[in-house]
Amino acid sequence: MPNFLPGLLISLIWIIPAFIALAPTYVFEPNSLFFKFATLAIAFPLFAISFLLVAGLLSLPTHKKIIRGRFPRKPFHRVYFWRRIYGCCWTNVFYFKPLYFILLTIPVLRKSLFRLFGYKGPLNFTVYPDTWIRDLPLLYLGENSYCSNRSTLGTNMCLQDGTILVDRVHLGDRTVLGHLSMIAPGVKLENDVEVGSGVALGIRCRMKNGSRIGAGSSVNHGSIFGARSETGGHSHIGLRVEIGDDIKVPAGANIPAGAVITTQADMDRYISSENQVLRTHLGNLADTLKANLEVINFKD
Amino acid sequence: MNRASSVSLFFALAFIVYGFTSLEILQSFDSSITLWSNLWPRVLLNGLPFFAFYLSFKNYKKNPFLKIWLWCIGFPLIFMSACWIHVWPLMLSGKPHLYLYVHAANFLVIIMSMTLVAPPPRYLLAIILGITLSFVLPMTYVLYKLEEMTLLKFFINDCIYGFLLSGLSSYMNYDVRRKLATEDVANKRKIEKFVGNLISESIFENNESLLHARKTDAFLMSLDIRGFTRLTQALGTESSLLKEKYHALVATVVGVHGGFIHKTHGDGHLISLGLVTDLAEVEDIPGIEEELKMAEERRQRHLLMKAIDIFEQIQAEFSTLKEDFKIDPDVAVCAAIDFGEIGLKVLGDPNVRLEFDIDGLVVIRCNRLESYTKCLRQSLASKSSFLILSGAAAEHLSVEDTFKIFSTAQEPIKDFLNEHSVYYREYVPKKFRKRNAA
Repeated sequence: MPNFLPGLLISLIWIIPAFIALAPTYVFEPNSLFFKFATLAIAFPLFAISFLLVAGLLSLPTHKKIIRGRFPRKPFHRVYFWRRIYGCCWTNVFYFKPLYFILLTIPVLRKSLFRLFGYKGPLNFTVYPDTWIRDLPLLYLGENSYCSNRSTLGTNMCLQDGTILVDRVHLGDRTVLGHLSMIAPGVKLENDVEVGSGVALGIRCRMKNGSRIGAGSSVNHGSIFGARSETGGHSHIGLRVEIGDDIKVPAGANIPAGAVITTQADMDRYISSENQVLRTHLGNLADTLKANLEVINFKD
Repeated sequence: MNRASSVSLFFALAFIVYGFTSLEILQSFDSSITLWSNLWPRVLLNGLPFFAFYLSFKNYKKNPFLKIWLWCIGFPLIFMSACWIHVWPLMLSGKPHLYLYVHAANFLVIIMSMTLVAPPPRYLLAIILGITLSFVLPMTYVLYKLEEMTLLKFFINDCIYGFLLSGLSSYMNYDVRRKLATEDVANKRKIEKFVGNLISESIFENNESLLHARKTDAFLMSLDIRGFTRLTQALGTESSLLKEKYHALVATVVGVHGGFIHKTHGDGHLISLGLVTDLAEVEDIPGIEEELKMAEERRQRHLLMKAIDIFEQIQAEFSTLKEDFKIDPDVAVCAAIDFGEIGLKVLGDPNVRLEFDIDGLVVIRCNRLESYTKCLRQSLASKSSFLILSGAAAEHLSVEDTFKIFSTAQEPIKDFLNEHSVYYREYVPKKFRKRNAA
């Protein structure tokens, strides 16, 4: 079946606002130079507002289909079909950067933008035009939360098996997302959480109140960080790791999959066992080097 | 918004009824007014908008801020439109005394809109501002223009009292509700310590899905003090203090290690690890099956290690308690750890008592194993503390964990005859050696 949908939607989203923006020029047929300039001057605001309204209103019937789950990426699937319409409407606004920047800057337009696309949470958060967001009905950005530019709030993830995984992303109050940080579907960051620059948080990770993770760290799926826990930069946290409240994970730590760390003593055990492995490895290297040097000396 | 929804429905009906009841009064000032000319504007301009508010506010959780602003702006406008239906035109045409007939109804509506809805202060101020702009100022102007100074004084006087009293009672109503909500959160935190976060969340957030029946592979530890009955008899009133300290000790140690106490019975505790957890489901993510299996294996190993740590810490601290209370050295803490599928479900009668209880063969087996520590103490002629591991739990032991094997052939475990052996570790009193785990 030919897929006319994207073409049709894009045409509607662009052509209707263009007509509305140019309408005063043709309807009133201004004769004086002042009126000609006036109609031109209001053309852009008219275009911007009508662009937002057309895209937003076209997305309205799809909001109920922006749900969590895993769906096949088939154009006419009962959920994916509506996701495509929503995605088309949203990305038309999102990738139209000058317009999107203006919409984010002016409070009334910003509010209209988010509400029209189905966002239900509070509105006093900070996002930049290059902060990737979509699936607004599944997004919650808490009061005074801050998403740096180029951070990614991935409410969806396309998988290699031809499906798409969609889940909520929750950012609690006063939560800060660093530059280039990546948030996968299902991630829940509670209040006062700090995610450093370039941190990658896997699917359905959870960071509890006041927890922090340093720059460049990577966290595999389903891991939990306890309240007020601090994870140093460039750490690797494996699959389904559970870190308890108030635990301090040193920078550069490598926590293997499935680890359950509920006390600082558990953490220290890890670090000492890692150091032990490194020391053994270093010892082996020294032995090998020494043996080889002896061989070389012998030959000489 | 829920309250605004109810008030809107009441107003929707009341304004339509007012179309009938006000007819006689209005006709006494203007005989040309008919029932139809009085009714249809009230239905169209008052009844239907209020009914639309009612429908829109019913789902008060969706866009609450938008709806509350809609109420703050919409209510004064609808109210003003009601005033314009015959009343204000008649007053402006030289019949100002008509106001005396509608004054009570006006203030009833204003007071109800504020006190029953009881919005937060800034929205309350917005409503007051809206009513002032749409009703008080125009009415003041009308009465002033008609040079009805007595009526004007009466009107302003009632406005001041009306706004002050209804504003104050509205704020008090709001404050009580806010305090109740705060209390709710405080209660949740309080009750959480008794019943766990899962149950408290399901009660306070009305989320019964959290209590759905489920089955999870987890560790279960049954902990008991051997010789506690004799000890209670010997200690007398002091036993209550010992019990208090012992329970505090168990709760602290279990809490630190992320365990969950399901039941206490006298000196006995039933503790789980890995059962009551907020760990996310990741099984549906393709391509991580192998890694997930590995993660689960390590997780089980860690949980078992923690269960052993819990026992060892309790055992060590109990030795100190024994010294403090000068307890017979025969008295010892013993425990059994089992592993397997444990069910969590709500049991009981909803009208009498409900319990989010654990269920499954593992629960029974664990208790039987714990009772088996008596046999061990007798068989090995020892007065030490014993920790028993079932075969299923022992599968998750690390290589460095040392447990001895005891054959149950001589004295089988009650109801579990197919358990041919148990793993055990003996903790000789006062010679507790801290494990160097992992």
